[in-house]
Amino acid sequence: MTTIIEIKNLQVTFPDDGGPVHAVRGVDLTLNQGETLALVGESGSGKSVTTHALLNILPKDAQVSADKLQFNGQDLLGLSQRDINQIRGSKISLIFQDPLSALNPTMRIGKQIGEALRFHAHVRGTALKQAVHAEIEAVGLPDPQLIARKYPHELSGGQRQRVMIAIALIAHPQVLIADEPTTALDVTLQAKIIALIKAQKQQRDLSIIFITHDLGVVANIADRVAIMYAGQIVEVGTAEEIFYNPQHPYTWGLLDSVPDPDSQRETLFTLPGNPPDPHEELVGDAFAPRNPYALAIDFQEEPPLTQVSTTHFVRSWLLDPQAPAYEPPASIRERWAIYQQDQREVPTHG
Amino acid sequence: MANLFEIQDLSVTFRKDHQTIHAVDHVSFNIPKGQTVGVVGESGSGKTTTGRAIANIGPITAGTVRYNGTDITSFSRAQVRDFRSKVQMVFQDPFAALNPRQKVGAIISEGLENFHIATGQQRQARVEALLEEVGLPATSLNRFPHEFSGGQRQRIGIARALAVQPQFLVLDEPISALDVSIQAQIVNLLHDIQQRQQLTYLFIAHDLSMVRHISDQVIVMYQGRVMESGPTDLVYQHPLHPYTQALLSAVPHADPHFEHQKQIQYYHQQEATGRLIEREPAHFVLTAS
Repeated sequence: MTTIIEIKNLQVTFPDDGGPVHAVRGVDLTLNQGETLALVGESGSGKSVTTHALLNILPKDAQVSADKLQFNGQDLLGLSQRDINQIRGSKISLIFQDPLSALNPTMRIGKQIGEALRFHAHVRGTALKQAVHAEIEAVGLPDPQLIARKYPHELSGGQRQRVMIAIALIAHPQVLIADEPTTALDVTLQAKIIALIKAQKQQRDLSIIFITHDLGVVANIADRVAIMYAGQIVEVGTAEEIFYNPQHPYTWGLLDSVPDPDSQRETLFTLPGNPPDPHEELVGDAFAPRNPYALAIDFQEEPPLTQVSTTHFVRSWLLDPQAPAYEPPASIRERWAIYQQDQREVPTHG
Repeated sequence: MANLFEIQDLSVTFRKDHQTIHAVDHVSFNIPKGQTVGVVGESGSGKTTTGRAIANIGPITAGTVRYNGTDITSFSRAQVRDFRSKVQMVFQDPFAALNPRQKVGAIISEGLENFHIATGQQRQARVEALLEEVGLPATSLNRFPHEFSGGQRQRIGIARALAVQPQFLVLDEPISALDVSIQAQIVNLLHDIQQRQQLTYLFIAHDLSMVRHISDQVIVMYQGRVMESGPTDLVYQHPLHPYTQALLSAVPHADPHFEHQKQIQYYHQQEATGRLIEREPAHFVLTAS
């Protein structure tokens, strides 16, 4: 497996009137060639900031440090703005939640889609036009000539999101960062856009970081999942491990807050309280005040990263050998039962 | 069971670029007292316009909306005033709906003032009770909306709606701007308040899972028409209209095994036509005539 992006101990801090804001607090993350990694967390957990640090598109006053921030083995932190601009758009592309605010309202769609090719590959004239039309077709929009001449406001929400995807993909990037690309869409449109992203990934051999807080979407698209809380990754593993063998109480809480579409429970499980104020210097486990399973040590010392399998890592004191016995919620034990069943069904070699 | 609202052939049209847009097109359904009616549909389906017409804050082009048996368009001034206090709205974006220059206490007590519900000491006590009702500390009343998180702001929006002791809330996408764990808190809060105060809800949303969770009845809208309506379990377990079947097939489940096997159906029909036929008891489906 080839590692395409590697992040080690990423820290991002913003100055603010109320003291520094600790947006990302020591994130380790890798993206492997050809996989879709879902970055899951609530607003303010640091998922967007992590990817923006990668592309150097954070506000000027952000303080960024990392032991490692690499793309294809190349260090991104020391690069000049010029070199970063070359990578952004041609090697790593970004699509956003709200295409209307990301698109230029006064520029025709065709020109906006062609920009990355003009800038990175210096394609011009008829060749550019053809490439743009081919790209419009590739993202499933009808009548490329007509679409190319339109302005963003003349398109529907779903069409605009397809245009965003065309803009992101036209220069043949290796990595696509999709930041909540379907959150504003209705379920049927969402399903179509996800199907499009999956098809494009196959055809172009993309590696994808998919940022979302919707665990249903994650279950559909992700090979691996990283769960973020308060600027840290608290659990990371394969989709199978995160959905059927989750170990962190925050992951349990997230999974349990989603209503089961096939049954009706009187009361939804809720995590009490709110995420910590990012101004605060945290002592112990950031999740401890909301964690029904918190131990005394959670309020004093930060939990270490515990390895559950070669792909599954969890930041929780519960996995410490000295932790007392505990029982997760029934819904989570049901998920564990599915996992054990799956493990038995998969023949193991060696 | 008595109906709080009876909506019959409600239509709302707008003129845009010399064209008539049928935002709501012959919509009929009842809202039984004490129940939650969920309205689902994609953006542009007419669900918000329907909600606003029922709350008497949006236009009604044709048809009738009866509240306790009386057509709301024939209300006297006194009846309008009474209706305004009995029917309240909660919006998607609590921040946009709250005046940023007003303290929370003033925001919540505005309705008390308008309807002369409480004065002086009483008013202060009432605001504190409302804050407690929605799970916020009493000290919140001296703070400004921007000092609160999204979920807390939605609690403030709910407290403001409850201030005038309404019977009925139109909840227009009240959770879609919130994070998952906060959505569940707000839905549970709405459920508790409904139990305690015997309220009736119209819950407008595009999240089909949440609608199922909270609603007794569900209305599925598309292009201004009701495609299907009925008791929630019946509609979700036995959807009869291809549009409803398409919507439900697209709902993501937090379960990779399910997601990897599912087949999504798409609805390709351009226009919604026909009339609502009762195919099972209380289960109506738009059927081509």
